[in-house]
Amino acid sequence: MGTNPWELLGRRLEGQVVDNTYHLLRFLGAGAYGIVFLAAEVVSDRELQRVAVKLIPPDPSNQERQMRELEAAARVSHPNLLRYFKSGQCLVDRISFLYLVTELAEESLERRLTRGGMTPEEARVLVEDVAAALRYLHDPRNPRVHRDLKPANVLRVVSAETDGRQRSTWKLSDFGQVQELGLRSVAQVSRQLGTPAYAPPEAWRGLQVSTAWDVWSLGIMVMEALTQRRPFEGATEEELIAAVLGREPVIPTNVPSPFDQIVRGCLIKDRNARWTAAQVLEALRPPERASGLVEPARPRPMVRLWTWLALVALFLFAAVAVYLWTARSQVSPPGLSPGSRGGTAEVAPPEGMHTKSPVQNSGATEERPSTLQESPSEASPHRRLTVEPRYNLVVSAGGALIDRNESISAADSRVKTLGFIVFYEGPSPRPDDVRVEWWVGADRWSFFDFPAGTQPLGLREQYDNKAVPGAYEVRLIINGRLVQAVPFKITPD
Amino acid sequence: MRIEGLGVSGLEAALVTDRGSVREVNEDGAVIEAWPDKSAVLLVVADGMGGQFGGGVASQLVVETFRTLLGQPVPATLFERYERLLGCFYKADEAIKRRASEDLGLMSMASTAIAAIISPTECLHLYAGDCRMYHFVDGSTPYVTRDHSVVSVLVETGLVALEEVSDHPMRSVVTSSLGAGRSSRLNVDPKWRDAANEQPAVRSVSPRDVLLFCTDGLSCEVSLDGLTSLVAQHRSDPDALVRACLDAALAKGARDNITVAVVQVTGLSTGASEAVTSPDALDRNIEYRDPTVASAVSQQLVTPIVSDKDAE
Repeated sequence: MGTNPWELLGRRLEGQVVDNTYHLLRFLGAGAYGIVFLAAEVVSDRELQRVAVKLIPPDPSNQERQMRELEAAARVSHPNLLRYFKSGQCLVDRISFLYLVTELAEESLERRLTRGGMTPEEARVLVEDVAAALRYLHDPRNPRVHRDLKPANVLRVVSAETDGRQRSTWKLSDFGQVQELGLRSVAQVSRQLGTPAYAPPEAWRGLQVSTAWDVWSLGIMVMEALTQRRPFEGATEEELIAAVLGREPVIPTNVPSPFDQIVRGCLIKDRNARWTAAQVLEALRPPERASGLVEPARPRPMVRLWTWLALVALFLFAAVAVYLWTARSQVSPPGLSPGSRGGTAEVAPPEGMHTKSPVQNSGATEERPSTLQESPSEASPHRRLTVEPRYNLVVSAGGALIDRNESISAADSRVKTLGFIVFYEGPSPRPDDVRVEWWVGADRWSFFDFPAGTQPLGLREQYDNKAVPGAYEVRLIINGRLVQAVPFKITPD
Repeated sequence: MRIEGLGVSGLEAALVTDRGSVREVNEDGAVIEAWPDKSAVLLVVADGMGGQFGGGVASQLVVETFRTLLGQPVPATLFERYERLLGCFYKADEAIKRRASEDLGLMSMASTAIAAIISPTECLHLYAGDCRMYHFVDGSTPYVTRDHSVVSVLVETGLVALEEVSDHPMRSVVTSSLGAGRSSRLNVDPKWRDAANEQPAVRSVSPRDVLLFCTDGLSCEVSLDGLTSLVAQHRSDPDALVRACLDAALAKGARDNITVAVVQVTGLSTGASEAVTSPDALDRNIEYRDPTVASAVSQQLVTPIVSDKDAE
């Protein structure tokens, strides 16, 4: 028998209206810092949609954290993050609140697990979705740490797709603990610990915060999803902390591969050696993506006007090249196929069909993936042509294309503005995960991820850091496979 | 400071609370009060958390809840005393949560606490969080309660040395507390039925023993060695001992509120009944450096026997 003050307040506020629009229909639950309701969005006496409304009591001593939650919710956008609609201030039952309106979820992972553990197939979808969200949040260009990843904050959202089927997606919610790291890899230590059962060793030791925090929490959650047990237990919080700090995780032998490796990788106590979200996704590949999820477009990073102008020029220039290249590839001999899967699930090509010939690193990029794929029709003895995804990577310096193996002097002003475009041709939305990695010598300098479904007609990124002299290689990776590489050099003055 | 009106033969007591040198308000609460039959003393020290106003309210609720014990006779057996005292922790926990649900400004308030029922021969104690009891016995290593805190685990696992505790960033993060605070759940120790328990809830006490209770405002600033030294200097004078403890904490910077309560086992008749009737004595019961706290605490916590002379 417990008295949860949030629940008492939540029940009391059922039936109230927020901002003359959101009718609080039912108290759903209480997060760390607020109360969540099922609400109807009503305009001119007409219900537009059902949404979730979180009411956050203003706390002068925690104003910074509260505003951080609203800002974070508004700034982030990813298919695996709960969709943000609106936020503001309101007066409900004569009480002042901050409020946050988001899409409505079907259930939390916490509730899902009350019905039993997940099958490996279910777990794969869960891990892919959550790790994709973390990879987005942990983007080295603007890393953020969620710090409160746990089953109660992972929500299943059901949406109707264009084909009429319902799709289910796991999404992260609750940004009350989000910490932006900015240009740092770590942030000042915080005593706000999130939820103890999911907090990593460094949280208890008072060490600085890094993105590795979330990966630890993911590891705990993955094992819990499969076995309904956590790898560290304790009758009291002190026992739990002692286990997290000093003992190896207890991973049952029936945790199937690759989840056992993922859990171990996520639960490495040294946060510098711990896996990243990208590594978790790598471990899941080659994927049989069970959910068939189609991820909507994520917002592109802001690009300055001059950058756009340069890119447009580059695009026009490259379009000619692509046209010529496409014309050539259409007469490629049979047997060459795209370097990526054509749908959301990868299947082995039937005998006699095109097989993929991945380009093995630099110097082997001449065999381009073909755009047109011949496929047999059961109804007709004739063959019909279907469009398959095709990609081409071009790299630029100062708005002009860089040729393969080209050398550019570090004194050349062009090196200040390195960039790339990935040209894409195929079904929309784009079905593949696209990654571009920049390598200098044996070190990966940076990488860019474009999750499936984003921007179907050409992906572009701008890179205006000062490049250092060295042997560069820009790699195009489709669904974890290297398909094209552009080597070039920046030589000393 | 000295609890002149205690009236329990064989025990003397003193209490001091102070907001320290950094905090703007004092969120600690405390009471030392005898049962009407003068057979035992109830002692509670609570450390409120949760913002400028919430912490003080939480610690007051803790003290008020425990004071309801005084309305009934002292339980006959130690186990019954244990049960009553333990029950108060859960009632206080509920009381804080319920109050928080009525006032959003108090939503995150919580408190740690230590409570004891002390007779001239036994001390029954229970705690949640990092409020401490020290039992100083002549010639023996002092007994110290084991904090429900993160640093306590770090020390036990060897990741942090004792001397690093006072400056560790997690020094004030507790793993058990009463109330609505989100960061921890309620865990009360010592357990009654725990064969392996090296820290039993009931401790026998003898003349010249000193029982010192405090919030972490003292224990984070003054080491066990430092306290042992102060006890050695002021063993027979609880009043001087609490003052010396407070001064020592203030000298170290007093980053948190400080509350120190001392019960000295005298084993002798103290003429307590005379003290109870002496108005002068009543006026010297508790000393506060913070007038606002003195006012609030004197009204809420120890009204029957306390006034705040130094608040004037």
